Amino acid sequence: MTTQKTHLEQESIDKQMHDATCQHQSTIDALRSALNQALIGKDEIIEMVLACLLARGHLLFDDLPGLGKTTLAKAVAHAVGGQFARVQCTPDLLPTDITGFNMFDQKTREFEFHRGPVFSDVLLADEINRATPRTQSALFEAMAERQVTIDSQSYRLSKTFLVIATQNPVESHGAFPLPEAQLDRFAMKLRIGYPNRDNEIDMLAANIGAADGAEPENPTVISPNQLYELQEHVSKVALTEHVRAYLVDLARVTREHRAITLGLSPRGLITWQRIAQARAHLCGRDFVTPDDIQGVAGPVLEVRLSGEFDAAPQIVEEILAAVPVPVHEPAHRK
Amino acid sequence: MTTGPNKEPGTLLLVSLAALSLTVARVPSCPSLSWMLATSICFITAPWIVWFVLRTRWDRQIDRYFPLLLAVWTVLPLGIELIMHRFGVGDLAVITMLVTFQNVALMLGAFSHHHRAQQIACLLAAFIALFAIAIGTSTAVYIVAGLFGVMMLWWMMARYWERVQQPVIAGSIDRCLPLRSTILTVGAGFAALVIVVLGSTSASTYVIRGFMPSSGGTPWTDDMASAGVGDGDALVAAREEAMTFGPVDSELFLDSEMPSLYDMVTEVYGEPVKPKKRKKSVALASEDVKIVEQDMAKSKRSGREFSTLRRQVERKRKTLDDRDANAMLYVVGHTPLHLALERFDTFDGLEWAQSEVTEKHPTIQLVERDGESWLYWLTNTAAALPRGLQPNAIKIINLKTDRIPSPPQLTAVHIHKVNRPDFFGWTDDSLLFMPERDQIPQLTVIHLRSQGLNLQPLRDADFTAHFPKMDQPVQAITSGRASPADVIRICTESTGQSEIALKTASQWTAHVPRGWQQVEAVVNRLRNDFQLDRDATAKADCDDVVSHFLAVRRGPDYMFATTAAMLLRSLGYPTRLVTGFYAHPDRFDHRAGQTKVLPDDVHVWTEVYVGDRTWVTIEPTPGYESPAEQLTIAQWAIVAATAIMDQCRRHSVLILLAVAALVILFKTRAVWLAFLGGVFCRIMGMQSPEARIRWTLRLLAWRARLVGCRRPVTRTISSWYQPLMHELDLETRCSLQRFFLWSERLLYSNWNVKPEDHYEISHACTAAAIAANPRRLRHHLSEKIKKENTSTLP
Repeated sequence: MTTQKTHLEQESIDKQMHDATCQHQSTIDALRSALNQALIGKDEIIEMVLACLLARGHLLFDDLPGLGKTTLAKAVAHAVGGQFARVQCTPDLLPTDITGFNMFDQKTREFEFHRGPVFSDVLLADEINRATPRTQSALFEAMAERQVTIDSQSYRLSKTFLVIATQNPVESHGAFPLPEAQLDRFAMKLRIGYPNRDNEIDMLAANIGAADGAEPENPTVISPNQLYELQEHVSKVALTEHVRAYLVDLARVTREHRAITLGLSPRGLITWQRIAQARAHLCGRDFVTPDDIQGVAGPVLEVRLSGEFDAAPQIVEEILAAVPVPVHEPAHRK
Repeated sequence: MTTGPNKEPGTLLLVSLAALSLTVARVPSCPSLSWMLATSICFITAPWIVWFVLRTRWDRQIDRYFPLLLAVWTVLPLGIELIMHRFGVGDLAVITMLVTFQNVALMLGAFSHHHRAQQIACLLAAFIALFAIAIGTSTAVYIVAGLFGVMMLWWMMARYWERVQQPVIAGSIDRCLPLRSTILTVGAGFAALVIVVLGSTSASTYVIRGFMPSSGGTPWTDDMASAGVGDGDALVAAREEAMTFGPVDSELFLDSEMPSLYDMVTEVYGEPVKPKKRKKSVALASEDVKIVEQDMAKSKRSGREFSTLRRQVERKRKTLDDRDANAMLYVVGHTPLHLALERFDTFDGLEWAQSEVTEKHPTIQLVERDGESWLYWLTNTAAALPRGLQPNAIKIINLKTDRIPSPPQLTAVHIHKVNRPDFFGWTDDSLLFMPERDQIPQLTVIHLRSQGLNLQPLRDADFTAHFPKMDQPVQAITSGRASPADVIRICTESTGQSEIALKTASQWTAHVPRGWQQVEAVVNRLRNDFQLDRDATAKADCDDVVSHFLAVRRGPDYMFATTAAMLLRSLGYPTRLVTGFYAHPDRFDHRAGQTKVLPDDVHVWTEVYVGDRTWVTIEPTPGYESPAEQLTIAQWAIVAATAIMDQCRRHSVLILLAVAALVILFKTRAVWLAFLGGVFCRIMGMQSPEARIRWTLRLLAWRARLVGCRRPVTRTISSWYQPLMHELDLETRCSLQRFFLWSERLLYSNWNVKPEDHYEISHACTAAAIAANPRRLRHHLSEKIKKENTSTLP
């Protein structure tokens, strides 16, 4: 009797799940096409951005100038909807310029809190390495805990608060490289790279007749609440014990690798799992496979591994080649 | 298989009763009672457990393993029997077969809810019970079998009522006579009839005749038979010959028991012919006459001659193929074996005889070995020939002799409980015998040890070079113990030998270096160019049998031996003639592990003296193998290599074909191994959808391994096999994609298969097995590997 009941319950749950999944899939498809319109021919990058979005991670774009970092960041910000804020980081930017500050109101004879750009749903920090470390550090708390504390008063940020930062790795003149502590708070680092030939031709065609300085239309396809729901859903994607063990083994390899000074932190490990869950969900699965873990390993690890600009992919490759993929079935089935 | 009746215990009970009757019947004859009971109880109980489990909710799982259980239960008794045979407590083959049947019936009985299983189980049970009655001796067997009969009746009634109660399904009763089995039965019967009628002459139908009752009786015969179809030989002989009074007095009856070597030689080669020659006589002085007569008497007394002029005597006895000939003796150990019983050293042109001159014999010593007393005698240690001892055992059955049948280079003898050297002595012709006994008692087992020979040193140098010079006068050696020089002189004497022999011998060994190689040249010539023919004897008036033999090039084995001896003597090698038995390897009885020696195995051969009191046996007769030479490892390797080369040359075409086939098989191994793997995985995947996916994944791994594109352990399954997607039609590609998804689900999620997915899983797995054929795997994966290698190189 009980088994029958649980069976029925399971079926109804499955049905609900299925409906929810269908709805989520259509939302994700809409997001995907919106981003694809903004940046032509970079499907893989866009998948990663989506994964990061669903995993509640913060994004760091790290590439040469003019490759579309800011364009993509803006597209993401607009697509997600909600409140969008943008900070152009300069050396004279102050922490209070980001978090906000208390100002004495002469009329009311009281301190009044002026909210900074962090009190938004999406914060675009452009050229983040041009801000001083002092200013950069202002983002620590906001990114990790989604709150800011000003004059011993804590303020909660948006549930879907997302930081998209861009930086230029080449121009080091007058730049302050991000410290490891800051980097660890980003979920992934993406390099957009040059578009291929056909895509560039298409891009040129699209640009003909466009007014100089005119912003392309970026439609809003998802509300912060919807995004939050989606993120909740993604966090439930399952990992079997073998896959979790595989992930932990990979993390252990990063800590023992000779070329890496600082291995993957437990926070980094959790981020990796989240991103892998998001990728699994994007692929239409409700469980994580080693493929997901390997697929997101590059962007997730590169942001955390301190080293040369070109050596990172090679090191990631080495790490992945050090741990055998689990091909056992879960213990309960055997 | 249709699932018909409910799971009733009747069938299993019936089979268990049959098994019980078999167990009871086996009790008197089994080698180990406790073991037999233990296995029987195990064999009977386990199917009951299976039957019980089938009534619980695990019936589906158990039912799925029905063929496996049946196979295991069938093979188990055979396996146990094989192991028990190792320990020497094996049962008869027929019993093992019965137990196998019993197990099959028991397991089928446990699954009697299948209609067919029920029927076969019942049939087998009846067969087993019937057999148990046939082999059983105790009354308990009949009681159990009676119980079985009652049970069987009850069972059949139950089945009958069951059938009557069941709704009659149209079509199921149309065919009263099963068409297929009727045709098969009629066909088999007709074939059997054809075999019996037409094939009655061939040997294979002999067996069939045994099963067919007929009025002609069986070929079995007994000399003493006085009833049945025809009387025994002995009785007939007694009746036909007026002089006899019955079987007891018959000459034939007498000679069939315990013949001596002389009897057998006479029987095999015929009786010696005394040439009638006119002799001119001269009167002699009285004292001379006396001496001659004395000589005559002596040679008569010894009675030991071997005539080379013989005439075959027609025997009256009917010969039957399967007459159970009386074995003279049994030989345990390596065969072929030459067993000497008599030796002759002088030849007068027609007859061989043993001269009065005897060698100095070694003294026999008693040596205790492993608690047994062995009689050793010191062989010549100076000779570089001995290499290891060869053990043999001889069991005297019907041979009447006081001499011990001696293999070449016999060095030790052991008879159980005979521990006194004075029980043994040497005959004049250097054979071991038991003095003061008429004969060695029947069924005596004589253990022998003989030294192996390595002839290489003889081939390398001329062994006659070391022989002592023959400068002593003839008179000195007329009797008593002779020196080696005397032996050599007597054994190289060639009185009565023709010039032809001498010429032939020197012609055959013209360019062969002196020594053993010449001996071998002569032997090989005789073996290759002459034919063995027992009936081609010389005429009675022939006075030079050797020349006759050399001319006609055919004759019985004693002519081969005589000729070899004479030719070698003419070349200066001392030889002597040996009569005895040749233990033929063809008569080896695999079950008893011994070789039977029959009266027909009487044989004559030659020995060559090589110095140091060593005589080496040579075998000049074709069809008889020379005594095995003990080889050093290097020689053995050369001989083996030559033999292999010879075989290769003889079967070159076959070997070439085989090699070609092997090469083709090896080259195409990926294809057929992949195919076999596919079939295997398909069978293994029949259990469940999960198993199907699991085994398809294993198939992919196996095939990738075959083409050398094994998945590195750090690569995921779907990423490694992704290139297989190329160049596929859309449908297959989708199916392959689905397969990867299913396999990931199996491996990385807590997914439980739903019934509606079965078809899709099966379809996806089939698509994967097709897409992952060796050619595609090699093509796409090796490309991938190449690409990855080049990308990682810089």
